[in-house]
Amino acid sequence: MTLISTRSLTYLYGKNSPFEIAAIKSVDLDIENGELVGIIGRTGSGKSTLVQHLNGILKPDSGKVFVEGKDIWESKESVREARFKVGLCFQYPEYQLFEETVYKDIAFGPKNMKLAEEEVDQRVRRAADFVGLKRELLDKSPFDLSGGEKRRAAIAGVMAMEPKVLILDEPTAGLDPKGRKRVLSLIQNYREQTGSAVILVSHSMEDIAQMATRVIVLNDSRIAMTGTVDDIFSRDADLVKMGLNVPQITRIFSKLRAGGMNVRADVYTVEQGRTELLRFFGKEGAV
Amino acid sequence: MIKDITIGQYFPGDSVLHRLDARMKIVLTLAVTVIIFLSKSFFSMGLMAAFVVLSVLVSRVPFKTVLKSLKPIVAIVVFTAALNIFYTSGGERIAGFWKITVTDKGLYTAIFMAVRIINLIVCSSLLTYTTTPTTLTDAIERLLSPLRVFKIEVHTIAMMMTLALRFIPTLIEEIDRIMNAQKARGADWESGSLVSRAKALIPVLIPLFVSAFRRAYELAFAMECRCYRGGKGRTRMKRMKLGLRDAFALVAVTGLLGGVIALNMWKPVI
Repeated sequence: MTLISTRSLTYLYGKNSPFEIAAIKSVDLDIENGELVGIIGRTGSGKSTLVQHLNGILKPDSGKVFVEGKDIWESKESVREARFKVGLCFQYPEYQLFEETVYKDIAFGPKNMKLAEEEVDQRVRRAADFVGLKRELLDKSPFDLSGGEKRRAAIAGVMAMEPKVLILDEPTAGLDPKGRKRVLSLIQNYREQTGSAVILVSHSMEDIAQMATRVIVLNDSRIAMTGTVDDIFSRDADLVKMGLNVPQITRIFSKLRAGGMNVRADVYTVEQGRTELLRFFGKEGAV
Repeated sequence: MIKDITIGQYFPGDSVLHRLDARMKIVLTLAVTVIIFLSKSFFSMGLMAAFVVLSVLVSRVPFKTVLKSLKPIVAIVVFTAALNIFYTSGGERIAGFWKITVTDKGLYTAIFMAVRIINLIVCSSLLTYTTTPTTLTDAIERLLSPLRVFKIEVHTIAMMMTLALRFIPTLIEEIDRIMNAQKARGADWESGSLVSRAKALIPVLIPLFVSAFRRAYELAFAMECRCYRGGKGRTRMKRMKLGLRDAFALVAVTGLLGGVIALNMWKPVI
């Protein structure tokens, strides 16, 4: 089932001024149930602007956004409904923490949904489990947590609304490798257990290659390519032209091929690379 | 969007008024303000208005932009004008109904006061249109520097003003971001009672203060790393120098003062 679809979505910055510029231009997009869509594009390509339309934070200058087939700008209520169905976690979400305790902060979203207290409590605990926050942390002030914990608490705040689509804008930005891995695996977990669709905006080709079931490439405010990880990362020349690249491991394997080793070119994650190398050397009988 | 609020209304340009020494501009603006209050007759106020219009033309700030600065005071102008029309006694009755009479004197006073207020506003906004906020605080620092005799840290005050101005757009952007983030979690400050709306601002204000303090610390560190130690012994990259242009402006305003005083006394025979 199609959860979100946009039709010829256009948004202008600096409207009616000499500096008017389209942040996104006639974008048509469909998000299906259970997908993990990766959105990549260089800085300023309109990724963040695009995702802010999907839950009605930004109002398009033309075009429509449908959530479960319903035009979200139909009425005030429909916008609010869309905000709960489509959970958006902004860049550096830890800067939006404000409550006295982590528990209360995670409960902010569910409370706004006017859920019963028990339901709120359940959701907070479930979300905290998803992101791996220990129970004793829930009573602490969010400002006393470490950077990685803050990030996870903030993500839990969006997850607790149990949206049908979870959008994360650069969820791993500014984290150390361990923190990155943790955040990515919690997203994976969340998706497997709830079955909700996830949209992941990222600069990291590695993350996208590892996680996405479908990739959307934005360039100059438009959708330039869309397809599976294989479809997108096999077009490395086009990606480079758009200021992007293929995952590092893919580059290594294409160099190996160029150097005369008969390895596969469609290697996009380190794990795939390992398997391929083992196969290659196993067959050749070397090492 | 909240970003559209403009604070500090500098209008980029390269006119004579833009290039005038900021200190001179401040002093002359004050002088012109005083002269506006000295104008007592229609003719002297007319001269003032002509001077202000001429200044706007010289500054090459579009009239449309200048009119925008008048928008907030339209109500005040209309209100004072109305009061003057109906409450000035004396003079010949020219219109009226029931107990309300409008006299020619009342009408004149109303127009006179309206022109005076508009002159004042246009004149002072011209200063901010042609001077960047930083240059302005710089000039204020220089003008107030004699206060150092009284152990007032003029430099520190000016630096605080500069930093405050610098961070207004940054904080506005920050508010925008935080509001969006909380909106995404279903925050709602557009409906409900006044109290609940005020309460709804807490999720915006707390992160805003947290980040403002964070920025303040970061800035303080950055300044210390670059060896900032206050105003003592600090030299300047841009020196303000009075030039021929400034002398000319001074003469022009002095001439204006003379003209206004003369016109105040001139009683034409009609």
